[in-house]
Amino acid sequence: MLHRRDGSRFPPDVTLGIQAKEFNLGFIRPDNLVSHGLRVFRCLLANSKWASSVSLFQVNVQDALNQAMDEELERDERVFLLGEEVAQYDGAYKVSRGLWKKYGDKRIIDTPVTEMGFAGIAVGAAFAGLRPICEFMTWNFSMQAIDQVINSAKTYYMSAGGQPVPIVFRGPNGSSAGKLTNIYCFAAWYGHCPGLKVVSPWNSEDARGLLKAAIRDDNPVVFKANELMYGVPFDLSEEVMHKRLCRTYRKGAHITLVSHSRCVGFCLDAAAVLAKEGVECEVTRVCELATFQLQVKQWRRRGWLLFLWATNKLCYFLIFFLHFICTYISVSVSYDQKELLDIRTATTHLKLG
Amino acid sequence: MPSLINLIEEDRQQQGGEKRSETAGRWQQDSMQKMLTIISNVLRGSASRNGAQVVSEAASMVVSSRSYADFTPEATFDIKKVDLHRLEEGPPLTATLTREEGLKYYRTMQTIRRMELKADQLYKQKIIRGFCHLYDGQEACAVGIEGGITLSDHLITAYRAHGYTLTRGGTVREIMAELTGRRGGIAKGKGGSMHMYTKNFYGGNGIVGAQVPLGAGVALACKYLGNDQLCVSLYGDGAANQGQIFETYNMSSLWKLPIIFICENNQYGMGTSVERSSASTEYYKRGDYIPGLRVDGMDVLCVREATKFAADHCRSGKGPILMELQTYRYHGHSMSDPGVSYRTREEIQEVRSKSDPISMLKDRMLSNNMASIEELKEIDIAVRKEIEDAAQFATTDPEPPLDDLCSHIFATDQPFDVRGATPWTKLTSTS
Repeated sequence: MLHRRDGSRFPPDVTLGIQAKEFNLGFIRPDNLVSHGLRVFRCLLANSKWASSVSLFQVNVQDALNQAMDEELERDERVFLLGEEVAQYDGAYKVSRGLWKKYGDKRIIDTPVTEMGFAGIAVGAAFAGLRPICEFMTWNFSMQAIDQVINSAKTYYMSAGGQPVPIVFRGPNGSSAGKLTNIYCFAAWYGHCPGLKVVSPWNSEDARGLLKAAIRDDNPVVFKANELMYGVPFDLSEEVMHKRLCRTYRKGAHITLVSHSRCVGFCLDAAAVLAKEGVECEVTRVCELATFQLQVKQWRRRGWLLFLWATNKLCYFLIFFLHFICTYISVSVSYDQKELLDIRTATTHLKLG
Repeated sequence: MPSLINLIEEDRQQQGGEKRSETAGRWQQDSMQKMLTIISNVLRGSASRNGAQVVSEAASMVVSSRSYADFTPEATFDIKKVDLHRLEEGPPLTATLTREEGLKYYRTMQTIRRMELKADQLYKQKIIRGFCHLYDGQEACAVGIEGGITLSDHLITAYRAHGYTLTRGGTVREIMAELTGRRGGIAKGKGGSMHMYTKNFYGGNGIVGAQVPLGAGVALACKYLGNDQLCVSLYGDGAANQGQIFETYNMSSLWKLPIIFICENNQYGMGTSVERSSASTEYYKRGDYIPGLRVDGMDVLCVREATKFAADHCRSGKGPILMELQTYRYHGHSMSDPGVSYRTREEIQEVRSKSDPISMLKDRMLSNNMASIEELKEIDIAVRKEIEDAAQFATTDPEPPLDDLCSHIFATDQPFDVRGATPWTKLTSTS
């Protein structure tokens, strides 16, 4: 519960639904340590050789997102979803299937094709105490509304803590099968905005956990999934997994592959191929794109560091971004006297629509 | 001196002895006593008191001793007819003003005026820097709108926000300290001129037109929570052509959101007059399917009645409504604009002499005997003093500490390190 300077509380005094403990992206809160510890323990159990004793389901990323939204809509009445075709169409990519039938017009709102307008409305609703999930059909269309997304991040700072903005902007990002249009990846664009949390999950567990954490977070969160991952099934444990700064999918000693979203899959495939040749790769997913420079310490152990990114190599933003990261790593590990070679791979420098 | 006392007594008796209550009688007796004391002191030429002070005290005593029984407690005024769009009936053609309301509006408008002029002065002394968009000339809009809604309703506006910050519950001290960027400011010095927030007031927004969809979002929250509140979303004649405003008209009309769109038409968007920027200058009709009103924005009563009408319209569930307030700003667009390259000084002077909102209210109150000149002068003096104190505070208060630089990036997060300008500088961010 936030207490504003003038004595008012945020969320507003009229509380609807159950106020459960808040989970925040990337940080363990002391009061949650015990329950979190237990959950982590159970999940470690699930990931280990005793996996058969913990129940697992095969769930698509799409269904995982649907589950996450369903659970959060049920848990807190201030949460609502708005976007194009999210209600009666069941979602342009079927992510919100069944939600309109369950929650009705008040909580699942179909908007006209006016991104700037409805993104602004979502941010305004967040100002006034609700917790909107604003869906863009793809992140390409968010360019129409980019001002509202970026400037939602400034309000908490410029009001000196008086006006939080608990909003989630969601949508598919990046490439899709056989398409030439609406396939650009905007991770680097939004990742450069201070005050905005940008997350890009890979598998179902990440998707579900991160979306739940994003909805419960009191800050503006940009949630980018990849459309091609929607139909891919993964094991999903009953417990919610979130709150990992950088998620490691495979351990290895020789090289670290860092990526986000769909490219994590490529990294794992590459790791499987390299394993046959005796090269052990560690595959890591970046959790929050803007703050992972703080987590670089764990990569210091590795001699080689490879970033796999689905945006243009020569993109100015990305150059600054990754160059800075690599410089930081080099500076911080130089005393280890390891030859740190960082390679950035990305798509070819072409701008498709 | 007996003749003076007799005159006063006769005068009071003429006012209507039956109106005198017991307390009034006692008060009159006391004041008579005081007056006699003062007069006798003057005659004695007491050295312990300043002669002028004694005389002015006597004068004010003489004046105020004929005050409360005399002033009209309430008066009704004719106000200008409002142009209507898609409405059968508009706000009433008369407005009732009580003495208390009149004094309150006068004081608030005078405070806004003095505060803006003081900000101008401080800006020229380079104590306030950055952007500063002044609101003088448009006071009737802020005060009139606040008169038509309650503090539990919501309001959002663009960058010309100092007046609204005051009417929405901010104090002059906080506002001026925010302009000078000190820690006593309403946003602790981190928001500046365009980012001032109070309860149910969402700023202060830098991007022209972006506040209108935000206002519709607040209205959506009001409807969602079912709390019978509404949101007033303001924009200017320059912003009225923004696409996102039309997107907002569509959605708020579709979903019947309780929102009042208000276009403060001060005839110029920066330096472009309305004729040069808009194919249609009838901004109250621009909502098309949304009912509209065109209101004289220099008359506080007109604005108040129109806002009350609009608020009733929204609260009855009929959906949004649009108001165009025809107003004028005396200063340029911002402090870097002298304000005369795109308009003439004569035009500014003409508006100042014919339609100044404070003068209009003052004339109304004086001609209807709702207040005396001295009383209004006292209010002026008190306001001036308040502004001086606030300016003094704003100039001497220290700036926010360096530790505060990175705080409030995220809400309800654990403290974390933020990279500074170089890889080895670290600052801590707290929520």
